[in-house]
Amino acid sequence: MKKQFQTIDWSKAKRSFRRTAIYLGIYLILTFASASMLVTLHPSRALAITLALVPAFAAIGIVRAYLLSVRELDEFQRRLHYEAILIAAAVTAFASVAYGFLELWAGFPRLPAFFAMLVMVGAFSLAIVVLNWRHRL
Amino acid sequence: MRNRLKVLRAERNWSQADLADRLEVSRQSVNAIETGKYDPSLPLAFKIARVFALPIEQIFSDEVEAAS
Repeated sequence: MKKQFQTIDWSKAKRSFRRTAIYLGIYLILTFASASMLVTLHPSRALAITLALVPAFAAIGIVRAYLLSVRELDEFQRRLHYEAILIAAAVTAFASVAYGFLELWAGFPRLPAFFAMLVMVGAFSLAIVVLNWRHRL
Repeated sequence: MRNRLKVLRAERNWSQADLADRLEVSRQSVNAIETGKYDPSLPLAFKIARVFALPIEQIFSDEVEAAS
């Protein structure tokens, strides 16, 4: 069958979704296992550091899945993703600096560092939806 | 950069999807190039020239040169 390139190539989208779901599953299992062990075993500091970092390394798999998906896009669609990443990086930088000052001088509560990742993923998702909408068919 | 993609495609009775298939890109990309929202890379511009069997300068032109 002739290869069809549509706005969404469903066979690639399915493959990409499956790959991301697998890595996300591994990440969630390791996060749950690591958290359970930290709470129940009360490990030494060295072991606690190791256990705490296990889910972080598992998250590299999610990044790999995303990179593989982007490589399968054509050059224009890749440009949209690069633009979305740039917007997400700018939003994250602004949000972290602004909140840092609020923490320091306005008594705002301290937030865990991984909130920066949530901001970045949120900003990226919003940016890619808006950019695709602007270039809709 | 200006291009004659839409005219050339119409002359051949190709839809955007037909051209996208020939170029192995998405229809979204063909649409963005046609509407001047995206300038293709050199490899893609050469591929477009090959698909239309035309020299690249007969498809793409410099906007500043075209205006003067």
